[in-house]
Amino acid sequence: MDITANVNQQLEIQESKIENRKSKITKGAALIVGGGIGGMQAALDLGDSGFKVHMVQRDSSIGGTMVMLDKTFPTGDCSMCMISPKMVELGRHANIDVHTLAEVVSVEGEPGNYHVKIRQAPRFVDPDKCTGCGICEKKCPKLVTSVFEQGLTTRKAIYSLFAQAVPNTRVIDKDNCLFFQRGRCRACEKFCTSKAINFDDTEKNYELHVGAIILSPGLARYNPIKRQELGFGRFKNVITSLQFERILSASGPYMGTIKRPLDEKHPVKVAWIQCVGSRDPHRANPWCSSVCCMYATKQAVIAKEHDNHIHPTIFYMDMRAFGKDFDKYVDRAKNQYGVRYIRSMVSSVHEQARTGNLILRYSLENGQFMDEIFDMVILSIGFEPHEDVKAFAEQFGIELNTHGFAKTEQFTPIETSQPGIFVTGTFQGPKDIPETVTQGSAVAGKTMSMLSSARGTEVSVKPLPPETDVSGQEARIGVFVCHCGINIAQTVHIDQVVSAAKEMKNVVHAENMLYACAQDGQEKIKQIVKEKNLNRVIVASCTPRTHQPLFQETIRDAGLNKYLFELADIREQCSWCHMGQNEKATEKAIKIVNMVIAKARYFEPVHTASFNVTPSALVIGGGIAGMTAALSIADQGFSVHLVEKEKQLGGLVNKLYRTLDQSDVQSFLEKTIDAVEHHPKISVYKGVEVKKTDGFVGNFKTQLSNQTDIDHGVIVIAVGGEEYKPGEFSYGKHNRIIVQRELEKRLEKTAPESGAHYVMIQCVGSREESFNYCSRVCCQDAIKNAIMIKEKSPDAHVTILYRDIRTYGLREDYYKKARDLGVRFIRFEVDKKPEIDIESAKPKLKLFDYMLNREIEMTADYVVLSTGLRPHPSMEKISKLYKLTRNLDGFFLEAHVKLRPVDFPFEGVFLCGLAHAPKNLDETISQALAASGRAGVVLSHDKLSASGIISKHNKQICMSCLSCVRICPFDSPYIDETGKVCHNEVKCMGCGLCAAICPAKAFQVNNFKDDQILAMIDACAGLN
Amino acid sequence: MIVGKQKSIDEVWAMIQGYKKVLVFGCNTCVAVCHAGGNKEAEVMASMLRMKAKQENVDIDIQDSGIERQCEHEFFESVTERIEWADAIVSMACGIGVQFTAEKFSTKPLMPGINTTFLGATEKPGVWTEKCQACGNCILGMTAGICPIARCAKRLMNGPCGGSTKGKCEISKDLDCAWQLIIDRLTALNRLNEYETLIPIKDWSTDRAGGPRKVVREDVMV
Amino acid sequence: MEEPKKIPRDWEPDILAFACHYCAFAAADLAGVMRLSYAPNVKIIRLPCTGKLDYIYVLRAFEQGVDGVFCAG
Repeated sequence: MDITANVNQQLEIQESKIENRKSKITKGAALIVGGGIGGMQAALDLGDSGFKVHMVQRDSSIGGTMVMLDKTFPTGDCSMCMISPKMVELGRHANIDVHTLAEVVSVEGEPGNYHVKIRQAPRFVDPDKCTGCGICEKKCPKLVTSVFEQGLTTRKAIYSLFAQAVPNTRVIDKDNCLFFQRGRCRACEKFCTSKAINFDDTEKNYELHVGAIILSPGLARYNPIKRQELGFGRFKNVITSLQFERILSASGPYMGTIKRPLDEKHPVKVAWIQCVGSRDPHRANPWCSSVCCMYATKQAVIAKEHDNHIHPTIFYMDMRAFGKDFDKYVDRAKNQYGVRYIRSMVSSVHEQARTGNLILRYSLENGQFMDEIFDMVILSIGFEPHEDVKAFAEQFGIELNTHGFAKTEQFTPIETSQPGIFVTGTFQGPKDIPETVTQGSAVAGKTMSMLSSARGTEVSVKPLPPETDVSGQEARIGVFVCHCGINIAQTVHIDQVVSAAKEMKNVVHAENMLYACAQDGQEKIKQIVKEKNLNRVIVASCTPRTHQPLFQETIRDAGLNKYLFELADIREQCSWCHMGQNEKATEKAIKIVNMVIAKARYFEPVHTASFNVTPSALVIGGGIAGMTAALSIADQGFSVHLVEKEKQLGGLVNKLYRTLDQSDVQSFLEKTIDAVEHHPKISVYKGVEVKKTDGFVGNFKTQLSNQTDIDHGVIVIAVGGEEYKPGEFSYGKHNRIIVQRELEKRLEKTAPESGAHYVMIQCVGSREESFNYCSRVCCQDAIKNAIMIKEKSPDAHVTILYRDIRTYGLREDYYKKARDLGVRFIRFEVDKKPEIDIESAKPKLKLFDYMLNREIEMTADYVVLSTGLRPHPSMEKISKLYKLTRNLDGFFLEAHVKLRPVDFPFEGVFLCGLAHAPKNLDETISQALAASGRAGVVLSHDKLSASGIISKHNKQICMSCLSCVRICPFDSPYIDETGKVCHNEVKCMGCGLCAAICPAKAFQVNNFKDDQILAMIDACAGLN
Repeated sequence: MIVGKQKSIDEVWAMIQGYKKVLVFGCNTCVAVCHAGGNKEAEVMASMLRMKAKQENVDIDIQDSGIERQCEHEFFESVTERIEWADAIVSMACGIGVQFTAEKFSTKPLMPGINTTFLGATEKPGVWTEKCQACGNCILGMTAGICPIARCAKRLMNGPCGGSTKGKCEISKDLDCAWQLIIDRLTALNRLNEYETLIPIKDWSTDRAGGPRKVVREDVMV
Repeated sequence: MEEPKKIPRDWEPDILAFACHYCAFAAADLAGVMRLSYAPNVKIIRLPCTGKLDYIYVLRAFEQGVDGVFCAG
């Protein structure tokens, strides 16, 4: 963009600002730019709480980086299994419009009222007509290198980004399509039975009108071809970590078998080289990418699980396992999986002639050179901003920091330089999945506050006809068997399935359909339901996981309860996996349909109870986490009760003066306390504790220690943590041995002593049993104070004794700054800690220097201990009060480590701050905003409905044996006031553990009742 | 509660040899709560026996049924027909229920499907422990609420024997010495001085020594 | 001990699978999406969680002549 255009645009924006201020419109809609997991979380939270969401995504599918990953650390959960249900939910969300292949062209307006011009590239496939059957892709003759598979395999010219893509509509890659390039082929068009291919499709330009803009474009990855000495691009067996991620994936190029690309041999010795493209200000990027240490560890562990012959070695600089339970994961990788960690940067990689093996040259810490041969080398590549990030930023008028990430401030980590435009995910700085998801909910919370007056104005509820009463009626089943173009029909004889279904008892109608899910198919189903008076409907086509809700809606439109529907999966689980075995596949399809018919006979309508929601929140803990959450919830328009145990708000932050970037913490704290205490929607209770809480999501009742009773709909737990009080290193026995917090206080008030020697010792009370976790903040604390000392008294000396320096993400800048200022860093091992001698006036230290390979001694004017963080003592009580689980270290355990980072398994209870795990101030603020966003999703509803698929309790036959109470993971069965077992259906998740264990069969799960399942078993065995 | 443990399929199978129609009959109170002999367990047992019959190629009809409690007359009314149908009954009740059913249907062969193990409590899901021997003369008031008759291997009445080591009984290192538990609890209650009090010789006539026992209460007779 | 019966050469077991809606059932779908080929003699019953699997389901399946039960979740 040239300068004049920019100025003109600025003027235009200003003009429109003036114009809009007159009208004061606030739109209840948000634009989300980027469809990765962070954007998805924001979209779902906003969509679920009454806002319209437009998601603009450059790719042909949403999903971002996470869909490329095989497993995730530190739990080893399958990445796709986690994200896929979210993508499906988002794809069919009534309040969310997904604009794929789209980009923002221009933005005008002001907070609350933006006009955004969108340009959408042609897909050449009509999503309204396409059923996602995929026959076009199969018939397409053109093979193209797959970018998604990182070049390890090919795709077609008409393709979907990956198997589970949302939307499921294929896209034509014009640059590679034979018709577009050479004018002939059109195979896709010929074979598409629903006439969805449209070669005349054109670019679309349109405008969206929204109130807030959320940027979540994610990051690109460093291209290691620039690092010639590592051999990428020259030696086939040197691959990137993302390529290896695809190799590990069961849906990847080798179907999860570990092979190396050159000869597809199974590698034995595999090396990971860390920090490729990261922490390298001279040749690559200066920042730390935050995730590579952990993903390399994960890849090594998973590789070992796939193939036990593999010997993994990881070459690294500092092991940055700073997250929750990360250190334990690395320990497990070392001790249980035999992963070898070598602290050294590899200086060159050469290919061995003939074998394709790779010779790695590296030096040991004592300077000795080593050459070691590996079968395969994986480069742990880091993140970097997209190439066009500058233009992107200009378009939205936001500032970037020196590295090209969105510029944000310590205390407003998700706000860009433009009010009304928020940022989430890695664009704000490298981060892992849970932190990205956290920020996703955080921007949702922020947006909810900003647009609270317009909540519900852009969404509409579809009117539904009254439900037909089918109780007591004999089953009248309709069966619709779908050809799915030829997806099913080419393998399964559809007519045979239809006639077999007709023979079944209670089946009053059976027919075939070309595409049941197409508009005409659904209309036909509605018509037949009415015509033949059907009271159960079965569609035999694809998987219920994606299509059940669609057809449930269809029969609901026809006046039937949606639980009178079931899908028989004869595509994914029959035709697609038994191709060429037509007779057997048909036989199986008939059996599958018969099983579902048998089940459907026992279907009953399910009515879900709904209950009122008290639009108010209880926030426990008045530190920065609790106060931030309280303010954000109150700004959304809900009342908040903030309970603080101490007489003063602020928590640990009371003792904090500066952040790493020198932001003034105390004035921020002052402002926050002031805002909380004067907010009309917030009631503050100081010196008060929670005594008891009853109820469930939407309807909690809490008694406080001052006898106040509170009704509220959600709970935010922000009870914080505390600083470790050290007993080691003679703390308290010598006045020159202090902790970082004491130093910080002194530095705030007085300048450091000229010429004095400050020796800092890291990991005091962290990273060893019985507190084997990283406290995350201490490296930065030390570096922050070290910089302060050197800046105030350049002739003072600072030595930091450390195990690994963990200045992750953009914090790496300060590590470099400290080194540039002359701060010395000396590493020690946990089993060779520095020894301290306090006999003289100044403490003396002795330790082993691994670089010099000998013991060294130094005298310190001050020894400063970097003490870690501990869970707050009140957590034990809170965990009992709310039955919340804690991890081995005593921090609260969230509902899902990756995708539900601020939720508890119990609905309506949220978590933020140090109670979750040690973290920095900006991260605490993000998490608190996330908790407010999640709380807003609940509180924005007048009524909540229980799920339909829940366990129903028959109190009459229950004998209160307590098996259910003991086994239920959600605490939904309980002992009621009469002393008998009772069931709270609101808490029930429908897993059915209670039903399986109940000796009286008093529990039955809707749509999975024993009679229904047994009928399926009988039908499977051929009995009816 | 009465705790039971299912007999092995082979043992039950051996007992029903020669019969053509067998009813596996559950009791849905005590033994249901301990997942041994409720109506659901009866269903499972019947299913397993039918498969055994198939394996052994024996022609036999095995069905299941059950009632609330097999030690009360009234509950039997609803199942008389099913019981009459069978050649033999496998009762999944405790010893009481098996006998009660046998008394009611004097010509019907009756087999126990479970072993009645003891009177006990659910220590935790899946673990039951014996707590009482129904001696008929409770001394728990003197022993800090811990029964040395049920829980001491030797039923000692005045302190532990020489086999008590580190709080465990000599018969198994997993078994707490009941007297150690009594001493610990007396200490916690600050009543350890009572440990010195001799417990007089117990009147065992209320136990099995006096023959089968009976409780008669005119005030609840109808 | 009874001798195990000889299995005829052309015999194929009839297998019933119980699969968790959230993981194993999704995996079975993915196998289809990836067009992985396997023998058609396995049918899947979807459960909300494999914790819902009751003893009696397994027994009933065997009694009715199913040769193998596979529970995945």
